[in-house]
Amino acid sequence: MARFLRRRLLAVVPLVILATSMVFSLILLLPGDPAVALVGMEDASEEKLAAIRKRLGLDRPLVVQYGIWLSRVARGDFGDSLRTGQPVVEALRDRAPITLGLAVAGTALGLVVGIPLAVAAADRRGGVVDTLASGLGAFGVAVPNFLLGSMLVLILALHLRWFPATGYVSPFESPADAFRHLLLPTLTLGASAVAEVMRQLRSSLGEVLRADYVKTARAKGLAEARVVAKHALRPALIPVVTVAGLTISRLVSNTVVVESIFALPGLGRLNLESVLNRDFPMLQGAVLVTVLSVILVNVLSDILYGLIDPRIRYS
Amino acid sequence: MSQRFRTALGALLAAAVLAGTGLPAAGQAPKSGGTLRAAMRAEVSTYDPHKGASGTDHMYLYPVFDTLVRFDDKMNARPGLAESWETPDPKTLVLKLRKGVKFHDGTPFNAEAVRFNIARAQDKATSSMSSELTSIDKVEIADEHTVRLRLKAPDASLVLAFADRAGMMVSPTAAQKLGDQFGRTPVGAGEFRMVRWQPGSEARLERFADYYEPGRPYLDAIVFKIIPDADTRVSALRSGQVDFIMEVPAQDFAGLKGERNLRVNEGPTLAYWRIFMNFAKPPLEKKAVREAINLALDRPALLKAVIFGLGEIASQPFPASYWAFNPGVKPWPHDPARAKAKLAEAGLPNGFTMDMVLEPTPEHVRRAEMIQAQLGGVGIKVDLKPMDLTKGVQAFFRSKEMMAANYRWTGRPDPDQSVRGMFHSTGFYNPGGLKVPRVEELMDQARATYKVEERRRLYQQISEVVQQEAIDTPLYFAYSLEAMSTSVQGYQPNLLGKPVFRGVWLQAK
Repeated sequence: MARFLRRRLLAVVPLVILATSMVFSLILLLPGDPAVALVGMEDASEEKLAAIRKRLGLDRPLVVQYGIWLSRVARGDFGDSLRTGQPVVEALRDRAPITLGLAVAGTALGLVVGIPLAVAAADRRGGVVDTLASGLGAFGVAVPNFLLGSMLVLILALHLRWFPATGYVSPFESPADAFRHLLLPTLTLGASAVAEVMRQLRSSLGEVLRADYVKTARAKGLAEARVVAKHALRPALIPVVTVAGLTISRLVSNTVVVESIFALPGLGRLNLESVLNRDFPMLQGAVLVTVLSVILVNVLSDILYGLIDPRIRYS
Repeated sequence: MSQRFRTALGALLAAAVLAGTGLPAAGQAPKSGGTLRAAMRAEVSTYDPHKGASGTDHMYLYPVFDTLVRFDDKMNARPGLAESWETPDPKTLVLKLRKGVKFHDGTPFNAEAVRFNIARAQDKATSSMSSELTSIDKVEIADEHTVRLRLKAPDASLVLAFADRAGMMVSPTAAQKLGDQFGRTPVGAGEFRMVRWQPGSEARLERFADYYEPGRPYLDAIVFKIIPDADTRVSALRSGQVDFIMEVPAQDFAGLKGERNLRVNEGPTLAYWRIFMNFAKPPLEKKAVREAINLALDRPALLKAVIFGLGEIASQPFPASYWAFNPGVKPWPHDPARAKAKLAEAGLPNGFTMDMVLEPTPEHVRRAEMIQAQLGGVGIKVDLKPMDLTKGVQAFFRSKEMMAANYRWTGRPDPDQSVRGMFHSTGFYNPGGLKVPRVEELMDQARATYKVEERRRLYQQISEVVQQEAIDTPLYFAYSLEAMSTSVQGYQPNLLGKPVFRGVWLQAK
């Protein structure tokens, strides 16, 4: 296990270098450098642009800029925003928890709602619950975030006034308020997670329930609930872990729409703003956090496989 | 109907009208206290007034930085940190400064501070408005509260330029100490001081207790929230997370107008939509071609379809309520037949192809596609080039690859700032560098006189020549559209279209 972890963590280094160097080169391909973005529509002379480039170190070759950035990051210095001068670390500290929290909450919603739903559906194939769940599953996968989010705002926030329509409150400030603010974005983001977990588990559970050892368990006269919970669910959860891992990763990189609808200052918006402003230290920081969290989730789901199904060995 | 009943009804109606227009009812004194939460579309580029690059920064800056000069609703200059000014001779501008004013860090505001600020704003390497202050040769300190500006040439545009960024006074102590970090932790002499800024998300400004005007500001704090999505801004207002929103989408405006707990404001501004052109790119150097473009455009249709009529057709660089407006200059007529004739006259009977930069957001696309259709009607094929702002500015203004761009001129307090930027051969917003000598002569004359009547006449002439030479393709002035909770009182819109929250107070609901 320790060896497995060490190997996985070592693989992070080349991945980070690959991802950040790709972002670096992509910025080069964008017309209009950070200096141009900084002066905007303002009447700035070429000399002034040159002075800005020099101040920001943009006059050096790109490889050198990247090398400097990388060596600083290795020492824990992510630099400052080219636009506002805000330390990148500070922006990430403010914003990453919002996006990561949302992604985790959305996935958790998927598990909490999706698993019982799938069990009920798989237990009575073709029954009322199964039909309803299938319909819900199709809806959850098909409905786009922007539509669902806007509908939730319209009905639950503006019409019924049960929840605030926008904004973010940290759970450390006020847990109750944070819950009220984050429920609608979580529902919006989690709808597809519910659907995917449900569909995946329903089919894998269906298969397991037809397996010989389950028949044996039933033949021994075990109660159906015990058969499902003790014998069938565990092996059937393996694909769910995969889906949940993928879902978190997808949600981390997909929150930009939800952040926009609910006015949440998260990583998604930071990414977008940084691209538009050609603010590459900020963009690199945001990309780095995204990459690291995706890798972390993958490692965690690998570990979970082993815990759920001891037959999976790490060798 | 009895007399008494009629009187009562009249009073009731008057009260209703007053409530509707948002004017405080008679006898209603402003109340102190409360936090105004305002939602804006885009973040300030920096809180350093001398370095910012965006025409929409001002609304964030005005509360923090008091200006030497203020402006009224017609954009006339009014006293600010400078109590009065005079021009003993055309090349000298004397500013008498207000006494007893302090910056947020306790630094006294005096002639020395003004000298520091002007030098800072003139610094070509760092300032973004150095071009507005080129006429200032020397700043002399006459006494603690009087500065004398010695000018290289007479410059009447200076006074109103001091109502813009160039007149925003920063604390010399803080600016020297903080250097590059000043833009994150700004220190001015305005009604509010910066407490916390999370770029891209929220800024909190709190009441400056030592502000020189007793009782001001009324608000305890202003919180600016950045909400880029227009529908989300509207939702935030409707559900009460914010009290005030900027840039209401035109399609939502009518709906908000009818809502009980909300009040809206629609007002003309100096900002107008136009087609910026590079007149060095053939065939745009030909006057007949530029006339053809202007004649092919159906402005009323654009105004109606793109922003639901919430604006004013533009005939010249100034709106009707501005002091330099020329009522004699009429909007271009929509005359496709004449446009075709003009194209034939220019030797292009089959039209030509013109690329046009635009921003890839819904309203911009809607407008650009209509322009494309209208110009297409006379044989001018418009090739739309959607680009984010940085890319577009680079392509059109800097590397000058594109023929046209459909952007907005955000407006400036003084007419000189506008016409010089767009119509002078050295103007940044005239990338082709087209020179119309008559326009430049008039500009220089207008700058050299301090008499408002005289200046008005000269700018009116400039507007005439600009239309005769077809060097502007004005479309419309979009109203600035704001919506607020009925508890927000005392909001005064201005022609600049950049709200100044001075005098705003909150009424308990």
